[in-house]
Amino acid sequence: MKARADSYDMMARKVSRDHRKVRWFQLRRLLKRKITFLSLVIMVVTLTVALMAPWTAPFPEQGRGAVNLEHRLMPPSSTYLLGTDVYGRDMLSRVIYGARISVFGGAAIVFLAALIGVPLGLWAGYNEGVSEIVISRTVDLVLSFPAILVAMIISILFGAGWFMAIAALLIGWWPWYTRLVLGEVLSAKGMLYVEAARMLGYGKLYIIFHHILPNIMTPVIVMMLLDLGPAIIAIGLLSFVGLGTQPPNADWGLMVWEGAPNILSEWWIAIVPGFAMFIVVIAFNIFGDALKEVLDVQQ
Amino acid sequence: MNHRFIKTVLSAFLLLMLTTGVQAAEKNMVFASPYGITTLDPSVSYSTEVGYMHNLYETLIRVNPPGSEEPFRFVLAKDFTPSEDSLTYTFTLRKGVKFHDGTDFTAETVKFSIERTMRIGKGASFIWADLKEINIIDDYTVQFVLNKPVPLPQIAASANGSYIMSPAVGDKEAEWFNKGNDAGSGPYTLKNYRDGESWMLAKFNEYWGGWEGNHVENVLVKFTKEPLTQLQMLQAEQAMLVGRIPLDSYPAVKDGKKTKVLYGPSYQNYMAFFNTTRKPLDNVKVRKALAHAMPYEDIIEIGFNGNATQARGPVPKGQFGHSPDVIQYRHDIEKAKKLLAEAGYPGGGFELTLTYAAENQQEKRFAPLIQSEFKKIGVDVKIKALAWSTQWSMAKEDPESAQDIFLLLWWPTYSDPYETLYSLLHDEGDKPVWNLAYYSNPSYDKLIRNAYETTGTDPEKARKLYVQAQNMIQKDVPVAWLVDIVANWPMNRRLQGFVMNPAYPNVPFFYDMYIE
Repeated sequence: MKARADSYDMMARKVSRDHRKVRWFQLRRLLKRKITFLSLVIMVVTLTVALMAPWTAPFPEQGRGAVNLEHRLMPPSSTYLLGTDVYGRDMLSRVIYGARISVFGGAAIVFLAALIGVPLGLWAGYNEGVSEIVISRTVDLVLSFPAILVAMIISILFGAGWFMAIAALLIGWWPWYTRLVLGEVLSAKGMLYVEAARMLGYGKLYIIFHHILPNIMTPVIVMMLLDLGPAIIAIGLLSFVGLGTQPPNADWGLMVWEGAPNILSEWWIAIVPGFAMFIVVIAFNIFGDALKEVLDVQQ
Repeated sequence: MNHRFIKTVLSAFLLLMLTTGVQAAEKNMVFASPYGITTLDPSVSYSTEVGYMHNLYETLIRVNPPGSEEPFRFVLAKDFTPSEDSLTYTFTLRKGVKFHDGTDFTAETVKFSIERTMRIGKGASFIWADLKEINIIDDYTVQFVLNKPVPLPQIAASANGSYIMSPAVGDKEAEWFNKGNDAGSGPYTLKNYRDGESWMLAKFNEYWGGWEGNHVENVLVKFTKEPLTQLQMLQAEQAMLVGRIPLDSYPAVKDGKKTKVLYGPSYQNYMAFFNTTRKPLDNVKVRKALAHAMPYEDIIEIGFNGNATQARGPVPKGQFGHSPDVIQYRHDIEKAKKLLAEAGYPGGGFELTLTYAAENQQEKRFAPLIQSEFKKIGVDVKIKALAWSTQWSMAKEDPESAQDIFLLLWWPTYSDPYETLYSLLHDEGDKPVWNLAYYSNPSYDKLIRNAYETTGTDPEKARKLYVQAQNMIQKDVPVAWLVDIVANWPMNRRLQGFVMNPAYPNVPFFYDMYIE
């Protein structure tokens, strides 16, 4: 009996694996499109440059905020490729160090949101009943407030800062993942392989994590990729109004804020970080979209 | 036929006269102002609306800018005489003055206005604390009796809390004013008041000063927060006068084709309070070290485009009590390092939180300079930009858990050093308001009170006492006095007659202005 159950289980897992294999095969096709490939390159380059900031930034000290008052407000030149800001700091170095805060901050939000949201969605979807009602009503409640407003209020109450900004944004962010997963689980639950596993007497947790989760990860990953851009913008927005990153550190949003008064004369101070944000967010978006299309995810 | 011809010529002539007439005398202007209105009640007003209030209301006398021949300009009063013991001041009032509501200005109205302000007891009403009573001698003579010989003329000329208003106010409350009503006697009356958007300072036809000669007649105030927007409005000639433009745009606006910047004295200064209740700033040597580590020159150059001077003690340059004999800390990193080592912190090694008001462009600009300079002596500064109300309320809550360094822009309410010295540093116990260094020194408190009460009878002695008091402070360094600023107003080149008066910061007296 045991052996038979195991073989059924193997079958069920094979079915879902084959399903995934086809999808990963399609992924290779995805990169043949120039625009998606370019997006991937931008993503990889940004992450590498940001990770290696002490080596990739021409003036790491200035990137971390040291002032350089003799060279204030210099337009782009051979020494300062993207010009300098009001304190004479090299804009290129600032943008590279800013990428760490912006991109990694965005990644942290998305990752943590999934970490909180996905298990809740799984639990609610699989159990239904009271826990589903409680969880999905909580989701509806949280989502009925604009996330950025909630984050602003929290930052005002508990103090500004990068860490606080992430925590505050997270509060409005995780329910999206719960809602997504909940729907997926509800439809997966009716699938034969889940039915089979249940009939074989596997535990609830075993089924959730071994049968359901692998099959709903694709839409979650796509959503994470698509969310990264908005998350970067949200952190920037909080910094822009003075509630996020605090000087001398700067994410791109804060840099735009610092450069805004000078936009008519020293345009590069605001434009450079703004453009960086634009490019990176677009890249993540295009890649996420393409992925979604290829994997045929219904959202 | 003939008749018609004459008619045509005449009307053409009339039209020509009208158009040229309008061109020759442009009397209306737009002021793009970053200064909002917190209240329109003249007894309560103690904030950014001061610039409008002084155009709607008048005081008995006004302090003249430094360098003037006469110390005072007579507005609603024609003259005043102090008694021998400086405890009684008799004011002779101007005749034929009407309030906007048509009521006549008399001694009765003076008594009514000041007593109303004292009764409400809000805003700057504290300036009248030493006033015993107001006696009406006759319709146009009024007598002020004091408890102590404090400088009454300066108090009567205060920038806040000394407005004279129509007795028709009766027992109306702030609410009535805040609907956009005014009860002043000033050259302008408030019209079309839309809170947070725009309002009009409109010509008051029966103003006692008259409207002959060149005066701006109507001022449309457009509330504009963003410095960048103000700059654009100024450059596009959509506004004749603006309040703030981006810091780095001053050089271009100063020498613009259509724009200029008027610079003038100010009694405004920037300071950094040290939290004296807590380690490591409870150590006077550490505070001294930080006072030496402040990059004064860079702050002036980069925070103010050079339009400031290093402060010398709490009393700003140009004001009574400011003196070259007051100790000043020079920027000296080596000395700072030495002092830190002596204090038991060789190489620094501690972190301090610095708060500033996020609305303040200058503080935002120079706070990182302090941070970067302190790093050189091994002190890490954590900068916190907070909305002004948050910054202030957090500092007032509990000194033990408050910030280490508090940046503040200060300006005195009336032209006497006592208010500054008292407000900023007298012992406030566990309910601090402005003493954000949480500093306490009873002999200092006694000394400034002594000086204040001597001002009326022996100004020279009072000055010496003030210098002594300031040096007492400078030896304890509860505060690093950063810079005394040069005030500025960016405006259209054609706007003339603007006189900047440091006793009335942020007040454009529109009546003195005209458009070329």
